[in-house]
Amino acid sequence: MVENLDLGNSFRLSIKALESEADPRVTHAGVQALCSHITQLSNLEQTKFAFLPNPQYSILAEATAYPRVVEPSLYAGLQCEIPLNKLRVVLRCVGNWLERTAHKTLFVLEIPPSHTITLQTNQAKALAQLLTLGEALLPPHEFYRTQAEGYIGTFGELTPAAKANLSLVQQRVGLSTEEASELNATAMGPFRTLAEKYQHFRRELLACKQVSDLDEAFWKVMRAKAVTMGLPEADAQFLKDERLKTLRQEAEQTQLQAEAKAAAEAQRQREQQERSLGYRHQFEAMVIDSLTPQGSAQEHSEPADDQPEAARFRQSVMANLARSDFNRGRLTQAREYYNLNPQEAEALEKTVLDELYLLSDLL
Amino acid sequence: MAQNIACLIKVVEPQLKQDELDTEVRYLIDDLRDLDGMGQTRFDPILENRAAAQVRVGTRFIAHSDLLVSILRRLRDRLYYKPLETWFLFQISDLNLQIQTDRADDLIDLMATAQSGLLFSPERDYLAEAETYSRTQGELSPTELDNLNLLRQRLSLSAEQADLLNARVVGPYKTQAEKHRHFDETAAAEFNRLRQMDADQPFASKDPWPVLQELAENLALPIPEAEAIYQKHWQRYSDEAKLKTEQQTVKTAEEARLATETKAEGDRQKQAQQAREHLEQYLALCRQTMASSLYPSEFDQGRLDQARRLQNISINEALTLEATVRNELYGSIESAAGVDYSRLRELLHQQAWQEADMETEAVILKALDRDMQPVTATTVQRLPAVDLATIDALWSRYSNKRFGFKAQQQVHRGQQQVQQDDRQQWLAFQQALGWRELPSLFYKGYRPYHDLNFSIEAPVGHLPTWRWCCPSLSDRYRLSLDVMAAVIHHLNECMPITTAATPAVDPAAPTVITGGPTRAV
Repeated sequence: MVENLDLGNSFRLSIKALESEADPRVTHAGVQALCSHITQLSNLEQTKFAFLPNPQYSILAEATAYPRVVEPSLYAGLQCEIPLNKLRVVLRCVGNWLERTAHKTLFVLEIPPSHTITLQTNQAKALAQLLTLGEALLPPHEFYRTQAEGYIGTFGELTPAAKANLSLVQQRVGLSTEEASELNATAMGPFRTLAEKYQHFRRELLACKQVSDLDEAFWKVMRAKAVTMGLPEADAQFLKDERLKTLRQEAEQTQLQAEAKAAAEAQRQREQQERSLGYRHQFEAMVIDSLTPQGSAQEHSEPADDQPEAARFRQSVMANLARSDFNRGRLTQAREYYNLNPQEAEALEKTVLDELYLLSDLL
Repeated sequence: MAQNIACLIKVVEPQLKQDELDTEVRYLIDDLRDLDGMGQTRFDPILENRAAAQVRVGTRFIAHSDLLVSILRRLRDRLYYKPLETWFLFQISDLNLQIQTDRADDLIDLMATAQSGLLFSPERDYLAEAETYSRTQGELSPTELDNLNLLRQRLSLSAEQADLLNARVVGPYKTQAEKHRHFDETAAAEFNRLRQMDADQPFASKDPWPVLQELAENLALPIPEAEAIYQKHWQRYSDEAKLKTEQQTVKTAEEARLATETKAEGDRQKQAQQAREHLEQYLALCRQTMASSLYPSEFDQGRLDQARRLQNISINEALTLEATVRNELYGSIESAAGVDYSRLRELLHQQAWQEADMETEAVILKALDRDMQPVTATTVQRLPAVDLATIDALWSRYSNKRFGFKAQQQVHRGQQQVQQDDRQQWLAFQQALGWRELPSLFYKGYRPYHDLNFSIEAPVGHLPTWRWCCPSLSDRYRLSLDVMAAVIHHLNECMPITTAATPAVDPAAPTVITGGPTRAV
């Protein structure tokens, strides 16, 4: 059985077969068929049903060998809670069902806040009274507004189909066009369209400058804001995901820019190294080209006992290079090409010559 | 058509004591009895056993349906005045309506319904019949309307009342066709909304079918029919979206392809530009190193060699570039006969006029392939125009247009204008060029070659000499008239000079050439 809950925007319908002489299996099948018909109606796929066990079957079950383990599986009726806006279609569906079964049945319709209508009949025509009274007991403004709010809660605005449904409701509950428009505006809140809501919510989300800003606490506030402005949860979530995606892209972009900057710096350093290396190679080539077949540069150098041997080696090589205008030209051009200042060039030349000196020792 | 209604009213307020409860029930009955038409009504007590005593907790009575509105109004007013939790039961025909409340407003909707008459016959019976028809077919067929009309007459309802009840049952769209059309229009509008949203910024997509299905149910339009309409619109929308996506995909792919091509082209251009820059840099260095001398110094050769290595220029390419710059700076040495005019250029650059003249003789003979053989009027014609132009340009360049073949052509043109006689013309031509003096009785006027003027002060056109076409290599510089005529003719053929009138040249005075075309260097 469904618990006696606050129905809110739903009505409760209980249906129970009354003909004791009827075959319990037929009744059971009828109950299941009705259940199936109701769940095929729009938005009622998830409707929860409580089934009323068939008392005859229960007695039968108790007489069996395993009365405690066997649960009654034949039903004599059902109970369900359904949104108020479905009252007409559900009662019409039940009417169609009753027309086919034509069994005497008890119908109990509970409409919030405090009305309970009871009817026993086997005629679909009599069931029309239940619909008439039930619809008449619905508070028109509240019923319409609830319906409008339901659509806005799902779509964020009144879509053409929602408006068409509301138009039918308006005529059914006897509201004027002005009253309906007013209720629509109230349900819609301060924003006239979903696009405006998106625009506003997007603007609010811009407060988050990075992914970590869009944390639980912030999102809690934004969800409350979404509810206030009538933006559906799905749309709010969509905009959140969109913002997160943008923020991630921005973060990636920033990261890429930082990487590009680092890469540029690395490239600059690499170029500097390449320049140094290039100059070294060119200088090495020049030194090797300048070596005369008769002997090394060292042999041509003037002995200077007050200088270390390596320094003398360097001095003699440089002197050898300087002797040739051609080599001096090459050296000048290489320095210009690699844009080296004299200190840098000299340091590199010293490195090369020191290495050559070491190599000359090995040889 | 009035009917009786059984009413039960029970006070269930838990706070009330027994005596208070009894008092409230008594007041309730008194209030109801006060109503018009209720004076004779029998109010039966509803008793309950409480604390071993029977307590009156409510009353039950039968009232005429016409009085229901008055009864409800009185009950509502009582709840306004004193909101006690009360249980009401109204038995209307087969229906039992129970209300348990302490709020007066909860009775208002029932009052309105009772006032509308929908709860009672005849409206109730008519509505039930119409609802049964409408529920089954979704519309009232002509036969059903006929039946309802008969029912209306039997129930004594007016046509207007029946119309209102019919409208209540079928709603604003009376026929299936109208409902079908309305549903179709609504579905179209629904998908147009989606299209508009697609055109704008992204949004969370939602399935419109549930609400459309709800509309179909509310309109009592068969669901398969509604679904078919929906599918038609959905298919159209889906096809459009698919097409749009495909177009977007193609566009994106095209853009990506173009971007790749542009990048590749950019890279190619960058490489080409880099190569051009390298060449330009090398050319600039060549110009710099050859600005003051025809051939770079050893120091500059070192620079050029290093630059060539650094910029990955092959030796041949470097030589070509250097030659180009040298030609640009010092004049072209182009030859169709494969003759190297670089020595001639060098000698002229050094203003070594006599050596240059002798080199001219050598290169012309080489061009004519007539080494050690006399040049005739016929062989002169074989001198290539390119070579003549090169020799002329070099002489002209380094003598500031004083020397060269063109200068000689101009002098000849001048003589042509003042001398009618051919022989005299050639004599005057040679005299004007300073190649010959005035003949006398014992002196034919021929000047020895070594006596010619090998300086920049020499007469216009004096150099280069035509020693290369002298019949003998003796010291006398003597030219045969037919060869001279052939040379001038060939020069005019290869290097036509402007036809502008040239002033007559005084054979005695040094000729100064002020104009005439020169070969661009």
